[in-house]
Amino acid sequence: MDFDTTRGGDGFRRESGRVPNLATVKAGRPSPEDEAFRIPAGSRKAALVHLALEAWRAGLLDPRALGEVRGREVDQAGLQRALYRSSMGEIEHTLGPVVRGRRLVVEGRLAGTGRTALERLGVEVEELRLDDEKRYIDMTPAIFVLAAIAMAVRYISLGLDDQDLYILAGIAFALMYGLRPFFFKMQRPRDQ
Amino acid sequence: MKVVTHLIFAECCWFATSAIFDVHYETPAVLATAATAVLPDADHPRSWLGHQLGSISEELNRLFGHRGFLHSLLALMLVTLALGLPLWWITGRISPATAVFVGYGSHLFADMMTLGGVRLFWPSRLIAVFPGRDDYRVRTGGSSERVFVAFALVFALLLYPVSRVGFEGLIYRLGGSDQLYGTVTKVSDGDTITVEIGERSTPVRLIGVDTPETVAPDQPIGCFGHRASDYTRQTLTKRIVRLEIPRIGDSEDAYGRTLAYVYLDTNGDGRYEHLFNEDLITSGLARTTTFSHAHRREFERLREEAESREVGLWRACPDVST
Repeated sequence: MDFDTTRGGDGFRRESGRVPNLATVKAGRPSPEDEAFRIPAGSRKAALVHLALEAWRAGLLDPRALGEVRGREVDQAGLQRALYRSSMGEIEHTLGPVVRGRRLVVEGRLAGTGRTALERLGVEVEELRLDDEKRYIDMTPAIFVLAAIAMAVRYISLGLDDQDLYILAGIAFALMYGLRPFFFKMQRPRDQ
Repeated sequence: MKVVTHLIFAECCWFATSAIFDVHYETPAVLATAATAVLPDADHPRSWLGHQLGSISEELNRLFGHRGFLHSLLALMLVTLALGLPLWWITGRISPATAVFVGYGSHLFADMMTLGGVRLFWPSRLIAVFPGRDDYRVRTGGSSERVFVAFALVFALLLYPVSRVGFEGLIYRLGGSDQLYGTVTKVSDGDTITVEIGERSTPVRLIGVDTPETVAPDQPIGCFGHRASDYTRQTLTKRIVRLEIPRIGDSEDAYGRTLAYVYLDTNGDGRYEHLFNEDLITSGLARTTTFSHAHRREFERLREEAESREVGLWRACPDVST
């Protein structure tokens, strides 16, 4: 995560000298900035943590409501640590009543589960996207589907009494199983 | 990627497909693979095909963009239907249609392995990439593409002989065989002989061929059966032959006959390298069997040629099945 830990800071650290060209996806009545929360894109947990920090900055969230805070006074760094240690269910339970009906601007694209989690809290989610944004789909998991097929074919070939097919499927499965760590490494990182 | 890269990768994929699946191919299928492997780049005016097409390529690029529609699964299906089905109908064989699918598909797969990826699910804007991590993908025109071509070339050269004999043929050949020399003392049928090895007579059934029946007590005499028996009798009786008995699979059939390939010394140089089983198929005296063995692919190709030439039983017996 890339943000400063000072309470008076401007939220999230940004790359100096580079202003991303963001366009709103959902057309609607613009609300004053002070009414909307603004968080960076990320996974479901990261989105909830950032929203909780925003609510805390706005004075809407009492940190002591979280079990991990253990009733102590915390600064932003402490709250952030406590939030990451907390379960998502607990964060949602604590956050739900204080953010319901509020607007939330997300700087980028949320994962499907992140968006669902935020909408379940009753937040109006608005995603900002780069004009030239490209969305990639990683086809590496297809390898695992092929491995599963090879495994299935071995059993089918036993039923069919097909020796060639059994050897071929066995070689394919052994290859894919052996190269499994490499295939995991080939997958696209979540933040790309 | 460059046109040469696509051509080499497409042939590599075609040989692999033919090795794994039971696809017999000849030159037209290899050419179909090459032709369709360059087809998707019609939407790129700066590509080799784009230069040939001129304004058509520019129009395609304006309509869909490079690596848009022509690089999608939808286009793959349409091209296979539009080109593959007519080729199947014209040639009467499935291999050219399969070659169209493999050639076009290989182009999409190769481009998916570049940094730019392809819009595989067009009209969706999603860009499909493989592998997902950018560092492992190929940079078009860079050194990584040269490494990719080198690997594809090596695999193509390795897979070519395997594609001719098939994966099953490779397995049988790797398993090896036992060699025996003997004299043919009796010919029972077109595909059954008795060989004296040492002082022992062994009934031998020729692998992979099936001549029409002439001696089976419960079956009528098959069309062209006598011709096949006479040919075997004239060629093999009292002749020394080399029997090749594969080590993989059964060495005897249900009637206790040794299953073997029969080789002849036709040049008189002491090297028994002429496969008599092939002679029966080439002359149209035998059909091929369906079970796996080392020379099944070659035998089927020869049988297809004999069928197309309409020799032997393929002309005389119109009701005969393959």
